[in-house]
Parts: sequence; structure tokens; C-alpha cells
Amino acid sequence: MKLRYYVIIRGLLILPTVVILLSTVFFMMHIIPGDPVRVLYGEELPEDYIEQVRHELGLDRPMYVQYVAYMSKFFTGDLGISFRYKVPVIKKIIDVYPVTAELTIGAIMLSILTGVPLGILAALKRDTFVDHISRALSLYLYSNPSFWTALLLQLFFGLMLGIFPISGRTPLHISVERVTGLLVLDSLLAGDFNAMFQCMRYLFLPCISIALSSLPMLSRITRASLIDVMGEDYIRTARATGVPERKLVYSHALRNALLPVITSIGFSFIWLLGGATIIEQIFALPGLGSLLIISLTGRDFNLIQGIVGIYAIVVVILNTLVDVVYAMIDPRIKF
Amino acid sequence: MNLKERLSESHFLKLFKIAKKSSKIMTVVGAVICIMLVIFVVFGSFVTPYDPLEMSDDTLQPPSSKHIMGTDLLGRDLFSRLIAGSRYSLGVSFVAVGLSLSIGLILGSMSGFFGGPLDRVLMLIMDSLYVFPGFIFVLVMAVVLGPGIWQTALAVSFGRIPSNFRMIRSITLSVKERGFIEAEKIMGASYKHIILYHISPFYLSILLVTVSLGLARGTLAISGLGFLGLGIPPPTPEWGTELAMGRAFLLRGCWWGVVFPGLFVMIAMLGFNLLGEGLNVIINPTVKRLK
Repeated sequence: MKLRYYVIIRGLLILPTVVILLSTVFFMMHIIPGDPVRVLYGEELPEDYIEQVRHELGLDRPMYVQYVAYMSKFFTGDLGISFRYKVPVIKKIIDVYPVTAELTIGAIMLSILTGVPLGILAALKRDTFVDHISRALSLYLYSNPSFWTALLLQLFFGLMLGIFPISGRTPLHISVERVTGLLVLDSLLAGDFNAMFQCMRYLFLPCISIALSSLPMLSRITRASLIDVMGEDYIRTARATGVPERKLVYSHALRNALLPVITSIGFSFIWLLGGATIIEQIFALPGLGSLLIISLTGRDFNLIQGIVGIYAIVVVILNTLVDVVYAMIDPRIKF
Repeated sequence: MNLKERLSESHFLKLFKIAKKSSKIMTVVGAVICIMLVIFVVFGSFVTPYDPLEMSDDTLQPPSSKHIMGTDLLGRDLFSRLIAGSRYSLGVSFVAVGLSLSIGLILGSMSGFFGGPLDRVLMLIMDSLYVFPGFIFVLVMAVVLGPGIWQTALAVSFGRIPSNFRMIRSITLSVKERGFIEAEKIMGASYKHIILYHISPFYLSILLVTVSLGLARGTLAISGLGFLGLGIPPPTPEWGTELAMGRAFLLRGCWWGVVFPGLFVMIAMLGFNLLGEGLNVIINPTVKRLK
């Protein structure tokens, strides 16, 4: 089968996956104890008023009607109105998603930039002191809950040393015009380097707390994969023909060794979307994670479904992209 | 290889002997931490210096000889609360791992063994859930089920089902093609008999690894839920809730309320991870090749 067909089939599979995830969330939301209307308006409201609100929100319809209506609306981009904020869910999500995007993209970049070189170093210095230290370090980091790391970083760099701010996105006196919503990018577009620097300072601690929990995975996979490739016949042959060790590693071995790393970068990204919810909460960043927690505690059905739906779409598309990229760069893969 | 042989001590010890020194150290250290934690879980509430729920006038005291990890806002001894809390943080994690493994075992073995439409449907559902960030799933489940010890256990277990399912299914798939399973079928053995007596022994070796790595993830998820106030409700001592409480007073310089609860979570995770990874290297031949 040609790559083109593989991409098409893989793309078509996005749909059932998203539908299953959305359905799971929908039915989970509707077995939830607690009436959203009462949570929103308090317990004391008269019964007939509550009935009226339920009717307006469509909560009195049979579940299957709500399900069909929800599903058909979802794919037209209409995620309903948030009970709490009284604005369309999609608008609320568009408002806050850049915070999460900035945080997770920053974190994954940091963990790639540190994890992959660390893995390469450990593999090249295999079974030496450097290797042992790096493996012990990654096991330690792997066992560190990211929210604890975040609190310790706040304590040390924020409160004790006072180098980095511990909450928010920007200092009060700086305002950046919204183009993409990603503050670092926006301030760069506006040519305001001071603002960009400030935004990066605010992003640093949250990003590093997430990156520290995902980099052990990357460094371990890089190490294992590079060691594996370095033991292959073609490397031995290349070495025997007198290819210098440096070139052997960087241009012969690394290309193949990084294949599994690419898959795991995709997985790490998905995994750290989950971790970002707590980190956003700790650093008071108004992102998707914080919004999800607010909507969960407020029983804001539409908002929860919307956010989880967006997560589902992002995750499934990312996953598909990883598969496609993998198929494109690895000629050995047959479909 | 029958059940007895797989379970026998000598078999494991043989593997342990040929394992590399570093993985041996890992396993032993991990096992020591885990044994210590189990002692905390079982005897924790008997050995605490103070009653974990008793309030006193010594509020927000820094660590001293009287309270080695300080006290919280209500004057409760933090060390006692953390020791007593291991029963909830770890105990609930045990229950969650048990639940998710049982469901994963039943669905995974059936799906792998029978194949067909059942397998395809289950695979599609599990794959969809597998790609989703587990913690967000657990968060939503925790709110759906409401606060409480059992509800938290159930919510956390749901997050682990897809990966357990996939693992059990793949082992079943590789075993069921072997000759002796074919022979059993020809001799007329029932499916139940084949799965229970001939395929399930193959799960055992990987089960230890899965349980200890699962415990690490479970502890993380439970303390994360507790930290967000969506897990086991107070005044039950639980590491995540303690951490959230400590965080509230971080700005006042009360570092002990944040450092010690997190330390307990970290040590527990380190113990489970060390044990799991070490056992994985010893038991699983493909991993050994890479190390």
C-alpha cells in the first residue's frame, strides 16, 4: 500500500476515536450526581423556576435526544452555552487555549532539548559514571510528582531567591496585543523584546516543572534506542571501514535511533497535557486545565464536554500525526 | 513451562542471579522501600507519635524535636498525619490497581483469545481511551463518582484499564498460537480451562512489574486528585490533601507543609518504580538486551 492511502485511512480513523471519546464523556456526565441547575442557582429556588431553567437548557429532554443533538452540534462547532459563564463554550475555549498551548509546547521543547542529549550522552558513555548518574537522575525525576516539583520550584526560585515570578502570565504593566494568543509569539511579532523576555520569565517555572517529569522518559528511550542501533551490523561495518566515531554516531546511528524517540515525543506531549491541569492550577494560569477544574467543580456540563472534546480532538490528531510521520521517515515500515 | 515452575522460587532466583548488578541493587532498594511502606499501611495508625486527627494549640510550628515534621494550621502533627495517610494514599492505590487489573485481565484475555468482532470493538474503545491523557479521564471520573475513598479508587482504576487491557491482550495473542494450546483445543478442553490454566500463567511474570509500576501511577493520581480537592475528602489524612493544605501557607514561609507530604509521595513512587523497573529487567528478556 502506498503512503498516501495509509495517510487517508489513518485520517479516517480519527472520526470513530473522537466519537467514542465524546460519547464516553457524554454518558459519564449524565450519570453525574447533583443537578447542575441547583449547583448554579442554589438550593432555595422555587421548583417551577428550576423546571423552567432545565427546560431552557434542554436538560429535561430524554438522554438519547440530548445525545443526538449534542453530537450533531459538536461537529458543526457548536458546543453549547456554558451554564456558568453564559457564553458559548467554543468562545471560552478559544479564549484560554493559548495558555495551555504555550505551556505544553514550551515544556515539550525543554524536555526534548535536555532529555534527548542526556540520553545520547548516557548511551555513548554506557556503563560509566556519567551513565549511572544520568540513569539515577532520570529515575529520580520520573518518581517526582510534577505538582511537588512545581511547589518546590516556587518555594526555592520564587520565594527564597525571588528570581522568577510564581503566578500569572505577565507582569501587570505589560500588555501584548492579541494576535495568536501565545504571548511569547505575540510580543515577538510586535517587536517588543522586553515583553517577550518577561513572558518567558513567567513561563519558565511552569514549563520546567512539566518538562522535568517528561524528560526522563525521552532520555531513557533515546539511550536504549541508540545503544540498540550502535550494536547493529551496519554500524560495525561502517566502523570497520574507518568512519570516524563522531560521524558514525551523528550521521549513521542517530538517524535510526531517533525513530522511536519521535513516537515517544508524541506520547509525552499527550501525557503532559494531563499533567498541565495541575500545573496551571498551581501557577494560577488561566488555561484549559484550570477551566476544566472550574467546570468540573461547578457541574458545568456543556463546558466539561466541550473541553474534553477539544482535548480528544487534539490528542487524536497528534497521535495520527505521529503515526504518519513515523511511516514517512522509516522506509522499513510496510502498511 | 507450567504454573508451578514459573512460580517456583528457584526459577526467579536463577533469573535474579544472572541479572546485572545495577538492576539487582534497584530491585533490592525498591523492595526495601515497598516493605517499609506496607508496614506503614498496616501498622501506621498504631505507631504514630500523636493522634493524626487531634488538634492542638501549636499551630503551624516548624519542625522541632517535639514535632519532627512540624504541625499544620489546626495544630495537628504532620508526621503522624503522613504516616497515617499512607493507609489512604497507598491503600486506595492498591485497591485501584487490583480493580483495573481484574477488569483488564478479564476483558484482555477474552478479547485476545476469542478475537473476532468482540476483539475489534473492545480494541477500538480501549485504543480511543488509551490515547486520551489518563489524568484528565481520572479527573472527570472522580467528579462523576463524587468524593470518597471507594469512589477515588474506582476513578483511578478506570484510568489504568486501557493499558492493562492492551498488555494482557498482546500476551494472550502471542500464547494462543502455540502448539500446546492447539493440542488442548483438540482434546476438547473448555475455553475457561485453557484461559485459566494454560494462558494465565504467562501473565504472572509481567504481573509483578505491572502491579508495582501501576502502584506508582496510582499513588500519583490519588495524590493529584487530593491536591485538587477532588479525591479523598478531609479530615482523612492523605498525602495530596496535606500537600494542598501546606501550599496554602507557603507564602507565609511554612515550607514544611509542602516539602514533607511531597517527599512521602516521591519516596513511595521511587520505591514502586525501582521495584518495577528492576523486576522488569530481571524477568523480561527483551528489556535485558537493551540495558
